[in-house]
Amino acid sequence: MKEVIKALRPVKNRVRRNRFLQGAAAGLAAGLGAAALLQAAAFFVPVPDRGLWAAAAAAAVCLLTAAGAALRPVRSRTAAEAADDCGLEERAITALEEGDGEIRRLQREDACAALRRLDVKKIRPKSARKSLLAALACGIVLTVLLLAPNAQDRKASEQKIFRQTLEQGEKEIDRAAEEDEAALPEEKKTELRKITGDLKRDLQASRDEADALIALDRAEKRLEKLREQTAGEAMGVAEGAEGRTGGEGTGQAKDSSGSGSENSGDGKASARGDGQQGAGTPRDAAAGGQMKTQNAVSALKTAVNPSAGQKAGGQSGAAAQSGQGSQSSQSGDGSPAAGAGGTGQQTGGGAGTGSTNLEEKAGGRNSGGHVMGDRDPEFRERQYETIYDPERVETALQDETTNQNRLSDDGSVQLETGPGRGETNGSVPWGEVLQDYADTEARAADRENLTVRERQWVTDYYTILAEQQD
Amino acid sequence: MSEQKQGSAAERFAEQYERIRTEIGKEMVGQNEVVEHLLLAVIAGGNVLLEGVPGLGKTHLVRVLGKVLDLPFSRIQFTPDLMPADITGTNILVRTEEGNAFRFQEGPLFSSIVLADEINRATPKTQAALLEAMQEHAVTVAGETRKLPEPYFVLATQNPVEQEGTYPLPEAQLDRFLFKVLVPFPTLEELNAIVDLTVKDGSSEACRVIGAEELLAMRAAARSVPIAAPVQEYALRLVLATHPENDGAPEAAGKYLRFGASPRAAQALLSVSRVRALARGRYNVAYDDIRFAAPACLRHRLALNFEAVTAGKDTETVLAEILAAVPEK
Repeated sequence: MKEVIKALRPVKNRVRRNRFLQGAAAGLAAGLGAAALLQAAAFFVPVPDRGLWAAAAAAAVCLLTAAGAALRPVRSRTAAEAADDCGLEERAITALEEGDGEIRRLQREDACAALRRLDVKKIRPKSARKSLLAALACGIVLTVLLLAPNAQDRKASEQKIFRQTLEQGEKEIDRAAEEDEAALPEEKKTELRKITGDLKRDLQASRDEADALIALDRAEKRLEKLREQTAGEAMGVAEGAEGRTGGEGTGQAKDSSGSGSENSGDGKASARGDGQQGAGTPRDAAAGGQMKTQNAVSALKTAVNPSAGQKAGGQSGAAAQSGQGSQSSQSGDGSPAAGAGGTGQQTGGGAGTGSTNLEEKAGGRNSGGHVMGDRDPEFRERQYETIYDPERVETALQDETTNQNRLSDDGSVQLETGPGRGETNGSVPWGEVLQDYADTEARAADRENLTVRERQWVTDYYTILAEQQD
Repeated sequence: MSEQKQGSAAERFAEQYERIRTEIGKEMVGQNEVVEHLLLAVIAGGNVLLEGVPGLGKTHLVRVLGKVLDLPFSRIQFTPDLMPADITGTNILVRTEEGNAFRFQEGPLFSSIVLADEINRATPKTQAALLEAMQEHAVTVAGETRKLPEPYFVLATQNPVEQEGTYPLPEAQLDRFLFKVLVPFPTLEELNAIVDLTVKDGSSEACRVIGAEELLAMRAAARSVPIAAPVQEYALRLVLATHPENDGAPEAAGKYLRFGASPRAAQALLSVSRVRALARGRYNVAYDDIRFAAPACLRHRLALNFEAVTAGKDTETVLAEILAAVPEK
């Protein structure tokens, strides 16, 4: 039996080669079919470099099928049948049968001799006609789909550019963060890394510009907060150092610092004032400017959406001027900059304080700067639907309507509600209804067919309100 | 027989077979397929039913076969008045020194090669007397069984033309024939050769090639030829395909047959295939051997139904359709 199996080895190799060819033919048909399906799907979903993907899919399926067919073990019986089909008259397959005896021995010898004489090239692969015809049909369909105009191609290329922009921006942010880390204390480094890590994760998960901008906005705020905290701590240290060194000052901060002039009158303020004479004081150093990471984030925002970037530029410019920023002039948090918050509030764009979206809008409008959105939302009086359940409020409300935000004469935007004037102690249950407000406004914004940016403006508005409530 | 002897008999088989064929060819012109079937049946140890018009040389063929194989040959002309004792033999009263005694007189069945000419003319009773000889290679007369000489086989002939006054062989008897061979009318060239052979002086005579012992050795060697499982399965599927009640039977079988071949047909198919394989110089049975033996093994074991008769189908046509419908693998 061993000699028979040995004699079958060339036949097995031949069978394996034939299987590879048959597998390649079948794989070609399957690969082209898969590529055609991919191209058909590309008419509904944008697929970047769809031609390349089609070629890769076809090649991969073809190779895998061919390799799988060739790697499948060839049984001796299969090889024997293939040899017998070439005129061996069932010698090979009979030789593989169990049995002893003189005639069996003679039969096996006869079979081995016949196998050695056999020209294995006679063992041909089974007809691949059907596979090749299928491949031809799929190839024609694929060609038609590749050549047909595809509306998704533009979206795909935009997506590709979008992804490339994000990748480039992420690299820049990483580089900037590395440089910023060198100047930060240890715990701030961790915080910075967390912010950049979260940002990168959010950017990778973002599906469009809106998602990316939301992520960048979020990161910007966190970076600004980090910068404020870092600056505040450094300021404290610097003030301490200046206090130890002594000196008198006018106690009046200059505008360029954007510092809280209301807090003057004490030594700190004097020191502050003295410190403002030149750039070399510890306070100046501590006040510092915007972080490079912030700049990188702003740059990425500009790259993703020029209009959003300019708004961010206005913000960052304001922050740079002040050296500090605050969330809102309405926060009343007593921070040094807050006292001067009215400045930002009053003068608007480039006011030197961080501001709400509303303030920015007002500032932007006043200064002629760019406003969010493709078009200016119209300020108008409208009656809104009831958006909270009076029964949830212990006190019955007489007026259940609110007025829309409107510009006051001085350009500030005031929010007016029904009973109560936006105060936490008012009869409006802010804590209970704010989420309802936000949800209903979001739905209304959808119905109004606003742009993404305008919707984002609505969302940000309620986000800030919620933060104020916190 | 020892394996070694079997082996050497198998190695010599093809050469001996060819010599026998050549020797028969000296006195027989044409009829190559008939001769081959006859030889295969003789070596396989079976009986053959020859069907053909008179004058085709059926008797001569059997006589030549007996000469070449060096086997005693007897011929029985079956007639309607033939009695069983006429062929088996009988006890006759003879005068001996001690007085009168019965002595068994062997009939013509007691020969190695028996030619039963026009077997369908004899009565069923006489036909039945042949059954035991064909199957058991023995004859029972007056309660005493007497063995017939080995090797032993019966070649029966029947005339397809004369139907009047004939007694068709029953299926049970037909089933005992290994082959039914159709003897065709010679072609023009063959007729020329036949005529030349009979009138020419010094026409060659067939001589002895092998004897009884060698024939038995060839038979034993053929029995040990191996068959691969798929090949055997093919033979069995062919037999099953002739049964109309079978689910997998081809359309022709279901439509035109009353009943199909018995297990004897499967045995016949395989035994003849083994002989043919050795005759071709192979030590294994091939699909080709089965295909060659199938028509001769099966044609006399099938029964056509009325639909076949009305459709004008004969056994050959139906059998050809069945064989074409059964794949080898």
